[in-house]
Amino acid sequence: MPIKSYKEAINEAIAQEMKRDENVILIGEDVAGGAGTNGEQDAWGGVMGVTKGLLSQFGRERIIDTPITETAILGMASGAALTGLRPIAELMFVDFMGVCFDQILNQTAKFRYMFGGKAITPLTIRTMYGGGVRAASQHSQCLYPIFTHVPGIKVVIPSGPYDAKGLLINSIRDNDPVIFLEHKAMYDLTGDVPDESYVIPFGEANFTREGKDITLIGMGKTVSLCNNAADLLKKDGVHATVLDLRTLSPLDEDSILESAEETGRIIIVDESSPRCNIATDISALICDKSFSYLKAPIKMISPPHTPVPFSPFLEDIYMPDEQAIISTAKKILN
Amino acid sequence: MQLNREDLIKAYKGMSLIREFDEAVHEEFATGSLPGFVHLYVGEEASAMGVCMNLDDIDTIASNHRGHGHCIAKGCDTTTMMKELYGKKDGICGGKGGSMHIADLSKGMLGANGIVGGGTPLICGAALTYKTKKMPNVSVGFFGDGASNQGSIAESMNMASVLNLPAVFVCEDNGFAESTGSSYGVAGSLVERGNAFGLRTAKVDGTDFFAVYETAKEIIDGSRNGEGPALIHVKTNRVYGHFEGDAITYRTDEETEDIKMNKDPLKIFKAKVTEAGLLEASQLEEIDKESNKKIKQAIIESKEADFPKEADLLTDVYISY
Amino acid sequence: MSDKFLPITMPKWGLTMKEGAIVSWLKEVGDEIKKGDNLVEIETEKVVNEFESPESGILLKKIAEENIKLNVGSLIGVLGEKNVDDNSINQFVKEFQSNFQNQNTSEEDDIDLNKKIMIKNLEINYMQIGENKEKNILFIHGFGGDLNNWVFNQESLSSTFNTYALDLPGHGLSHKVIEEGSIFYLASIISEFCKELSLNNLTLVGHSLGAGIAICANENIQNLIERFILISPIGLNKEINKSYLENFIIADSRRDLKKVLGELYFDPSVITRDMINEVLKIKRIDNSVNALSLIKDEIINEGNQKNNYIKKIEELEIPVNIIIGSNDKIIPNIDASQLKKINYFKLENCGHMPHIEKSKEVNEIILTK
Repeated sequence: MPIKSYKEAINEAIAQEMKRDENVILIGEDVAGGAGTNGEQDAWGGVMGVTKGLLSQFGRERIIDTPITETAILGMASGAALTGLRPIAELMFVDFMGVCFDQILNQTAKFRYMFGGKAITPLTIRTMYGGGVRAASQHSQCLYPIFTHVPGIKVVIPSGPYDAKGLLINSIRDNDPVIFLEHKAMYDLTGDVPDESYVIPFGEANFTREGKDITLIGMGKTVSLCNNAADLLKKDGVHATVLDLRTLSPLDEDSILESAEETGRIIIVDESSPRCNIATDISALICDKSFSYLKAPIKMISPPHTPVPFSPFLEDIYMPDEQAIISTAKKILN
Repeated sequence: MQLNREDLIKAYKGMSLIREFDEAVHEEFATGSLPGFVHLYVGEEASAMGVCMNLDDIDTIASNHRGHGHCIAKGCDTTTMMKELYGKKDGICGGKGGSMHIADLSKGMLGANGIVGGGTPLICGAALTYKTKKMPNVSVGFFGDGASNQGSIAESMNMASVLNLPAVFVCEDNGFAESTGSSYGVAGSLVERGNAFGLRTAKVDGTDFFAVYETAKEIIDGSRNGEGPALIHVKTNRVYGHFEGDAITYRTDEETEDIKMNKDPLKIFKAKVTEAGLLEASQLEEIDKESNKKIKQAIIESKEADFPKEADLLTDVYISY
Repeated sequence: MSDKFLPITMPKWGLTMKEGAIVSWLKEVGDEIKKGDNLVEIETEKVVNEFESPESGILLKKIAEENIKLNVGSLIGVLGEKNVDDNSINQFVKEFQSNFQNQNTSEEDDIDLNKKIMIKNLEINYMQIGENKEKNILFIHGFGGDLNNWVFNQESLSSTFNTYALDLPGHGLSHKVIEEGSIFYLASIISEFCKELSLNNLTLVGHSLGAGIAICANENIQNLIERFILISPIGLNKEINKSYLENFIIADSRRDLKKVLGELYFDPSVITRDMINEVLKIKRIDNSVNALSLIKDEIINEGNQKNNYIKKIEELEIPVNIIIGSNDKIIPNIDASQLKKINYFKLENCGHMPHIEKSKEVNEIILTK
């Protein structure tokens, strides 16, 4: 199977869907770049180059560079979705959601319900999240628990190139609003990605390792931390199951509980801030539904309750890592 | 006046229905039978009708919390609207939206909106759809003088201008942003704000249906013909408070009387058409009676109608999950 | 000195295998091992299977521990003669391992070995292992399969044959949109493929649906084919497990697919998580399910097999070998013992996938019959 990067997989998903359905358009700041300038058009292709090359395929009618105006971008995309287009809106950094959150929270998420089941809002919001690249507090957050909290939107968080393409194609085809989270440190990660279009269903977590001793639950970039930790633990004779959530809303509760009941020991690795994050949410779910199977307290590995620090020395301490998983695992195995 | 008889009757029917609807809501609310909040449009009817008579079912509008008038002007059914206010199952939104979220996409009504300034970016979206699909349609966003200071309005105007969208922004300036006068809160000139973004603009007396209609016609036709976005500043008045329950102590009784006596769009319309011999007073009275009957019937039906079932609580959060 | 010792190394099953792990040792230190004995159970990304000892001798030392991933070619055990002292053994191990570490891992591991060819306007994916031999072999997988089904056969036979394995239209990495799913149409793809690549002195190995396709292709490429190997073939009896095909098409989750795939094997524990994921990945490609449905309708008619190839087979003038598993749940009760002029092999403790479950025996038949 051809090998592609996370970035290429996302680009391919967008290009293939735009080819397949003329209603799909891409809107955002510098998604091509160069608008209104004398220099190169498609100058950026998104700040990390993810959408480069789409302008020449689809033109400025469907690849729309906007001013820096998040409320109008998200609102316009939402209104377009309501009236027959299938837009992909880019929120450049998830940290900027504060600027436009009303359009997501009170408008997009609620149309279908508020309007009595008559509205269809097939909007996909792509956004970059995550730390570890020294981008400091306003450009390194995760924030996906906030979206997960809101009824009416779906939250998708792929852990690698294969998942990214299949989940993004599904996000675009899905008729509900979807937030698609891309970890900014993963763009060059490579893996097998078919050339053809394919769809990965929502609400299906993926088991990337299987073992009876302990369950490691990850999402997005923390999945590879869990995989690495699992491989290291195996050398010490500890067999870990790793569960990649893939989508936070809908959540694959069945797989979570199935594995929790099998191993009785669970560690959830969540890069978002610790209060009210996904780890706490899943922890409560397991305690509620599978309490009698627990052999140890459920452990949550998240950064501390601070903004993301700038200094590399501090940020490296801030971010969850394999060692934290391994030492936690050893604690709950004894 | 370029309107024929049929259109004049249509115009008055619309305004009359809006008046009857919100007056009835005013009365019903006072009895305690209506749940939640309502924001009444009495006194502003000419604005909604004057603009919406230039739109068809494919054109879209987005409205605000004071949305009953826009809904009715755009063709929403008043009986199911009333049921919605009562939270009944066969309300226009299944009882799940309420007064501030009334919508009917089949009539191009993208919803009343509980967030001040929340609907305006949406009409840029509809306008983008029309532009992308090369449709000759227009999207109109109604918002108030209070909303005019929201960042979303400025962003929407700029975006519409940058992308040359067929979007028309209608600011219904009724002089008050909740309890704060617009002379205090709105800095500079609303029309200048539109000009600043390169929009075609107009200012119009919102008590005069004909003035609104003709101004809107010119503006909307321009947008249909590729001239891009525009802003209409409609000066109008609301008879009642910001919301029902508002004691309106921030406005003097004289001002309120003046609005009712001298600035009533229905009275002004009646005077104009009867003086010009276009319609008979009796015809207009007949229309009023009809509207009154219709709304009274709507209230009876609404009170009798069923609430949604418990299972309806969980439906339509998503299309599929 | 080292003649006394026989290194047992991590085998390479299929070209893409890079590493494996011991699941469990099946023999103890001190046991007498005969070449071909099941020595150890190995798990790779794709499959769990027993590894037969390539040598005879006493098992002197187990090097590999259970559940540790090792690269292909790593030392996993040492065979030798009785009464050898530990120091000598350890010396040998040390030498071997330091030599092994000094070898560069081959760059070829990272190259995508799939090749593409246009046949009748469809892009067909195939893999060729082995060249410059006199004889050719083409492996044709069955319904819902792909060329990786031949992972235990293709490379082993590549020292004797130029081996080819392809993905049928609608399967694997081949083009998914097909206008019709008839066996005749699929056979025409096969014949064109063989002609394009000039596969003369050809042994056609077909599994299940692939066997039916192989038989039907014969008409057009008689001059090329010299032998047939038909594994669990369609077209010999009426019975077929209709719900297997239907459930395979519908299954869209790991759980559901695991259940379905379990029916293929005598021992379902051979199925790994990765095997299921690989099948799911292909099924989720756009138009894949459509293609499978079209083909299914050409295999089954009202609960029975649609096609009967007994006559076609009996009319063949070249050697035909038919291999079935005794516990085939997909095409139960195939009985080719009545067919004239064919070699018939019924393998015990084997399901619908003899080429995977009993690869050693199947490869033996391919080599000698």
